[in-house]
Amino acid sequence: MLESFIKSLAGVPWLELLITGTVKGSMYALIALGYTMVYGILQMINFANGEIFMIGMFATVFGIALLSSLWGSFAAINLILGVVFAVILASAYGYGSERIAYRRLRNAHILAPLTSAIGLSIVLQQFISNVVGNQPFTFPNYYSDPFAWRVVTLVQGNPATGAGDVGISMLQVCILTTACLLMTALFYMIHCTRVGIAMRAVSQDRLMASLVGIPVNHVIAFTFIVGSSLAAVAGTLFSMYTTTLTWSAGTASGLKAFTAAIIGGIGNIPGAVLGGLLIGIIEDFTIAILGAQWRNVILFAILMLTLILRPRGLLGERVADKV
Amino acid sequence: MSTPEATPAPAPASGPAPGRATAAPWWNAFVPFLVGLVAVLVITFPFIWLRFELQPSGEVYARWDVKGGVDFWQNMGPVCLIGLGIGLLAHAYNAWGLQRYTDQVWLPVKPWTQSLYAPLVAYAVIVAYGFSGHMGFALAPSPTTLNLGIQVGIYMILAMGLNIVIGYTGLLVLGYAGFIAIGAYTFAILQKPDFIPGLPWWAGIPIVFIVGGAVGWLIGLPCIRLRGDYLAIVTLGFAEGVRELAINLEVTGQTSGILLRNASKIGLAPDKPTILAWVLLLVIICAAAIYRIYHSPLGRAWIAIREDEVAAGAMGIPVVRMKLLSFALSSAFAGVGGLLIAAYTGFVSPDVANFNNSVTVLAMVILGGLGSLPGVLLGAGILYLLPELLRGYVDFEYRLMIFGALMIIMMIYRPQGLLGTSRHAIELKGG
Amino acid sequence: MPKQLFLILTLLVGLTFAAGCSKSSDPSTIKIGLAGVQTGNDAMLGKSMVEGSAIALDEWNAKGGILGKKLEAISVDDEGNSEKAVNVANDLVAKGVVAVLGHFNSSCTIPTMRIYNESKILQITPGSTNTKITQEGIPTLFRVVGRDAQQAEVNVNYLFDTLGLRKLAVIHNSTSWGEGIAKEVADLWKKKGGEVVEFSGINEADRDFSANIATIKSKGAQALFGGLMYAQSGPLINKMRKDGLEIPFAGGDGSFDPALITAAGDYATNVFLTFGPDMESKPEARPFYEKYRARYGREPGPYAIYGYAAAQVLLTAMEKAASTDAAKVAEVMHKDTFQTAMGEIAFDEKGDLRKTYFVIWTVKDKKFVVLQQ
Repeated sequence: MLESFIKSLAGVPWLELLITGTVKGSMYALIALGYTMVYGILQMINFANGEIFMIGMFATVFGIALLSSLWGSFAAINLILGVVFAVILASAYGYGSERIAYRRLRNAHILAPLTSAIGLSIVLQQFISNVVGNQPFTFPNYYSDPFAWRVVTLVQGNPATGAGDVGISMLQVCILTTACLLMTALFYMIHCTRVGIAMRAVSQDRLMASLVGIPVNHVIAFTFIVGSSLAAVAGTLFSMYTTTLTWSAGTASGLKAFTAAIIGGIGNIPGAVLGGLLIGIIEDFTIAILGAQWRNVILFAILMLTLILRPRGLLGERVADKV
Repeated sequence: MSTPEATPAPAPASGPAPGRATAAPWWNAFVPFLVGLVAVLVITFPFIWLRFELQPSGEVYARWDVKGGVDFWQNMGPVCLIGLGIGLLAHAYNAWGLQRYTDQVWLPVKPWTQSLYAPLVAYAVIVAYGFSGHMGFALAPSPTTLNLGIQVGIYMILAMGLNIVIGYTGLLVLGYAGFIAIGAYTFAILQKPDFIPGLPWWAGIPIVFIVGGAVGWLIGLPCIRLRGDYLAIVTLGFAEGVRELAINLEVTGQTSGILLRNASKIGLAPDKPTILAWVLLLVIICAAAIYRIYHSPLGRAWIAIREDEVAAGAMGIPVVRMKLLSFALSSAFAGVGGLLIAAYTGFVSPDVANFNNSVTVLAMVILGGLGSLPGVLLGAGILYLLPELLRGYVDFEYRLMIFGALMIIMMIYRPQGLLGTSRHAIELKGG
Repeated sequence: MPKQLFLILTLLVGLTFAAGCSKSSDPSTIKIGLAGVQTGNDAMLGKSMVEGSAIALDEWNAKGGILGKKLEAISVDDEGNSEKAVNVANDLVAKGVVAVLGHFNSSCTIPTMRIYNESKILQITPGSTNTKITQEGIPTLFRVVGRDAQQAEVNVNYLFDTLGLRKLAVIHNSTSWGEGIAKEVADLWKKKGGEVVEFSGINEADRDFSANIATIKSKGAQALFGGLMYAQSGPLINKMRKDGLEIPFAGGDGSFDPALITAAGDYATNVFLTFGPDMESKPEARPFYEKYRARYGREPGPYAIYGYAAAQVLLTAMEKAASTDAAKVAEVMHKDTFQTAMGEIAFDEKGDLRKTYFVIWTVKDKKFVVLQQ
């Protein structure tokens, strides 16, 4: 058995898996940032962040559809404005969720906000499933196909064995670039701007921050908006990459992103990025080596191992509250 | 950030005189609510009233979806009305002294219900009613009614089990369905020729109780020391893991699940009234057992942990062990519920571990009352029966959405649930 | 604890009673259960199947019903979920249906067929192709579609013999249907002397196939067989072509839906699906298609005609047997040949179609066309 396992290792297309894993991981990282930022500032899990990601997917298509009806199908403009529309709408959902479901429960027992978050995530999910439709939808090909061409071919295929080419497509480049840009902007914002300083202050000590005049409520709301925007962009990229959007996409990707946040160290922003990339790569290698049916089992095992061996995560400095 | 000048002192000329009641318009209190409502209507507008149409060319256009929008609000109408009615009733009960009138009915009955025999009497009445069809009673329950009764009974056991860990110990478990699946699959696998084919359901109960408890203990071991939210996620992942394992393993019948052979022999009973009698008997036994545990030192320790973990630890309560115990017990009861589901339907499939199942049971516990035994029984009953009652008026698909909304609303306005204690409310709302 | 318990139990009994009573049944009609998935990923396939059956029942009612009674259709949604299917099956039994047309998914038919059998209810499934179903030996169970084994054979023959390919990758969606047909294909392929280079199951919720495609690509597969529903095979084809994997994609009847072409878009090339023959070109099927379009205002899904034909067979057999008793009707069904919109239908002793033939369909100009061989 071991022999066949090692034999199967030899044929693994590691380069291509590394590329697809990184691309997927960078999208997970964008979602994970939303979890980790809210956790850092409120010490609660914003369970609905995965659903905001899903709302972002649908909002993009709605935005594109609206603009197309308005002035016709201009691919580039509609796509960019569609993403803007998605970011605005998803931010509104993020802000609304904070305002409705979390703000009143800020000082409550930990059970209360968590339950409310789960309730909210169910509401959002079922809302889309009931109102937009519970069958899978296709991302309009007109807007995703122009990104399909291959930018660079890394490995030429071998006609003798039938192995195909390995390359990077424009869409993959775009996803990686967008993710990098957004993360850089986020780091800059957190470390170099007034609002970033305020966010860090609130995450360190909410009461003290309010005493020195930081508008805590605004900062928290802003955190939700930033997290939701990142998730919405991730949603657009993900639906373009997989060419589908479904109401249930939020749970699956959200859970993985959350695992990423924990592995990287929840509350730690570079940790979320690292965790996202790791999860994406591990997932793809699991599919190739063990088979697709084991991907979630392996991820769960990794989550458990992290919690047992290093509960604060890879980069987490703060020791998770232990009894 | 804000300078002292930024907060202007109230101008005495225009502002109300100090010490006198401000004559704010009566609708002032509703303004934030209305603003919120309008905002929600605005941000949900595109999804409700528009739809997108994909063209064969890959382009996409937006269309008005008046039918869909009207449909949605037609479904939401009865729900909102019921919610409004319940809210008004609750308000009336507290504010307008309605309690006086209900007390007139309630107080004479109260000593009766507090008797230890009350559940037994109720049980006898229900079972007799269930069997009345055999005696040609005209108003005898239909098979559908009996089916509902049995399902409610099973869900009551599940809700009571989940209540141990959420209501008593204050730990959130999101993957309860995973433990239900463990129970169901354990029973189904035991039926295989290699094990104990023909094992009757009652003999399976101790086994699944122990297996369920052991699995709960193992899962809880690494994460129970951490904050509550980790447990929630780990159990959520666990349920997903169980589902995938069931799909992948040979012994669980993979995707097609396990069809129990000789269902009439190992199943609960051949006819529905007898099944109802057995299930309700189990409900009473479980309720009695949990009631006794809750009022033993063990239960007190759980409450202490829920109220203040650090203080409980300082008082010498072995916090981790107690939490683990409550977690394991809860999963043991889930196992029993799973066995009943398997024995009743005669079939186990990976769908048992679906997230929807976890959510349904969780909503039952939260609606009925965290930590209140009659509360969760009521919650299980209401949440199982209400969708059935509303079937003709509200699309069945909106059920989960309503459960979710219920969770938020309950947490904000009545965290102790319908029948919870006020102590729990204060605890949950926090200082 | 006993406090309030009494009150609660009383209340619940009342509620249960009310819930049970709200759908009291009318004894003067013959009830037929129409069961199929009507929500979720496979919604369109199951829904049109149920609607097809409903049209047939209405036609009979317009003619004055059957055996002097009106027909009543009780349509239920099993959500494509096996546990839910068991529930709705129990529900149908409780409502006193005499026959069930359904379910659609094999994973729903397998657990429910025993329930119907125990309650002496006749069952005709218009959509479940899993080979296991008719191997149980239930005398009152029939199906009007072919079996996966036949489907797999047609697929394998085409890929292996006609196209001359030798290395096959197989991917399935981990449901009874998907895994069943994938295994049949893989076994047949090996028996023929071909090589199965990859066999893996994915989740029904998965939408990102890049790693699967990379693996298939590296193993040098010459064709990919997908035991997938259209919701997944469409995006998979799209992604395959974008990632530079141009090998033929073969699939079963579950992929056969116009939504596949929408999802795959311009990339729907080299796609070969097995499905029944082109029904719409048959003269006897034409009235049905016209009626369906007029009534529902949209294109019928591929299984609509199967639902319609199943109902036709059932009602004709009932009339002939002059009874609604499952055993008597089944006897007629085993013996007779029926004229339906799908053509002549006769059943063998297992309840399978005596004569079935799958043909290979391909996509041309964004439409399914029968491949001329």
